[in-house]
Amino acid sequence: MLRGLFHNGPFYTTLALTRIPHRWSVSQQRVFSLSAPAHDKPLPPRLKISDADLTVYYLKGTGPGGQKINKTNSAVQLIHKPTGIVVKSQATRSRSQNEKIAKQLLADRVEDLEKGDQSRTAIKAERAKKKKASKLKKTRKKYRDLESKEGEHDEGDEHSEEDHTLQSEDTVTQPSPETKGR
Amino acid sequence: MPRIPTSTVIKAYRQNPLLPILLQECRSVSSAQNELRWLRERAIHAWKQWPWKYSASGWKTLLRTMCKVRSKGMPLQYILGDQPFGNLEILCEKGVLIPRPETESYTIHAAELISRYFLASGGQNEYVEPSGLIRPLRILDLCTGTGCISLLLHSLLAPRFQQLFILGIDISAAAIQLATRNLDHNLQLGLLSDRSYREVHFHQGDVLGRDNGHNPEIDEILETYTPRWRMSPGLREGFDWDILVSNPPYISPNSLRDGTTARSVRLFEPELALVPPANMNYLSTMDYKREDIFYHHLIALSFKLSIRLTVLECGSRQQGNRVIAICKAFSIKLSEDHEWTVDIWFEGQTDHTDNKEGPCVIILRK
Repeated sequence: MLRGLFHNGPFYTTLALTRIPHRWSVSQQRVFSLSAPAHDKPLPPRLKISDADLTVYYLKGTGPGGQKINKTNSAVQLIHKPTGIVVKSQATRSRSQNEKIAKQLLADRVEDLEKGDQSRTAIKAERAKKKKASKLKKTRKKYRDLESKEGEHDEGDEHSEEDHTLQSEDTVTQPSPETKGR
Repeated sequence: MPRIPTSTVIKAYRQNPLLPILLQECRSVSSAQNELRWLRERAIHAWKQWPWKYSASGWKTLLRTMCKVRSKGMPLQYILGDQPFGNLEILCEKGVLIPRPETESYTIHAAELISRYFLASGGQNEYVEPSGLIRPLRILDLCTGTGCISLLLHSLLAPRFQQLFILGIDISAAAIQLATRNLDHNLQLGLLSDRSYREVHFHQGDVLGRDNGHNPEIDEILETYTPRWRMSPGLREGFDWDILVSNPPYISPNSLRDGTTARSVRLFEPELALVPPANMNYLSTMDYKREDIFYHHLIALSFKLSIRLTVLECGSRQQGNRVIAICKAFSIKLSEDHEWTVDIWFEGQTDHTDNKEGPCVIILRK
């Protein structure tokens, strides 16, 4: 009986007391931006490749191994049987780590082949491209504004300057799809 | 060793002036590039961690000395101080054999075999004896060295078995010390479960059972590690070990010198861990090959303790076949009616890639 009181009574009330003001504070919190944060759409899930479709090779050169030789080569090569895509990884000293990396690379490649534009890597590249373009646009706008402020004193040059920036915009955005492709 | 063409050296120098130094040991540009990358990462890491140690010189000088030592043949693992083994990070030190990638894949294969063999009635994750007694699965790892096999087996089997008991034995005190440090190191990194602290043990001992005073014989050690409740008579003979794994020294003294063993291994790794000892007094009486000495002892022990699964690494396919012959000879001598099978397994067996020269494992099942 006493124990029950002790357990439920005081603790319960303190909890309740601490909780209520907390809720109030949340409701009164001010947010700087009124629009909800615009998150990117979730990427499509990674393609899972079954182990049955894979041939794994541990590349370690020729000759005897074991105690006789201490190899540092831990490269792993994967062959995807259905498509024949070959992927190799020697990023780390760990075989299992390399295998993991190679599997991921292979999954990306296979997905690329299957889905083309709709694949994970393509969507990612597209997003990065857009982000970069918008960033460039912002910087250009910033400098244009700065220059136009300075140029308010002598208005003669303003138009020619704008033409120039427009031209440069084209040259910047054009090569990006090729470089970002892979 | 074929000479490296000057054009290759010049090309490598243009990429990075340190590459030709590494080429002396690596012999190929791609592996030199890899090693340089790993060495550089480690040099920068060390420099950031202990700036006062290298403040005067900076990481570039450190990297250069590392490359110079490597060009003399010092194994990369001794320079960096560790080697990945499965998901673990095994510390390496001079005087203890560096874990090999083949051993890694054999250990992973052994772990699969063990789970298949001892978890026959699927769904259970504890080992139940035929008599219905639940007890830990007991694994004996002889010639453990860095302790890599014991630790990786624990890491792989811990999720599948509720109780394990793994004992690693090595003749070298340095190896036992390093193995214990490896246990602590991987516990700290969170790569091993907390159970491993209770369930993995390392002990110094001589597998060959030579009477040289300071090393206890293997039987004595096994007796001390036998649980109390087992000591009562009438339960079962032997010390109740389920699994024996071993990667013993298996190089013949000739092949250590005839060029098949790498210079770096010959000069820097301990001969104790590579070549079985010579002064065995029974050598003259039987047609023992010196590189097979350990297998005679291991197989004798496996039959004596009636171990249900024995996994032994061998240097080559020929040696593997010799070990199978030893098994057969031994069982005839014992004339036991226990059924047993022996298999040979090697890397790439499932893909039918032919690597006749590489090491293999002998799997003995009872």
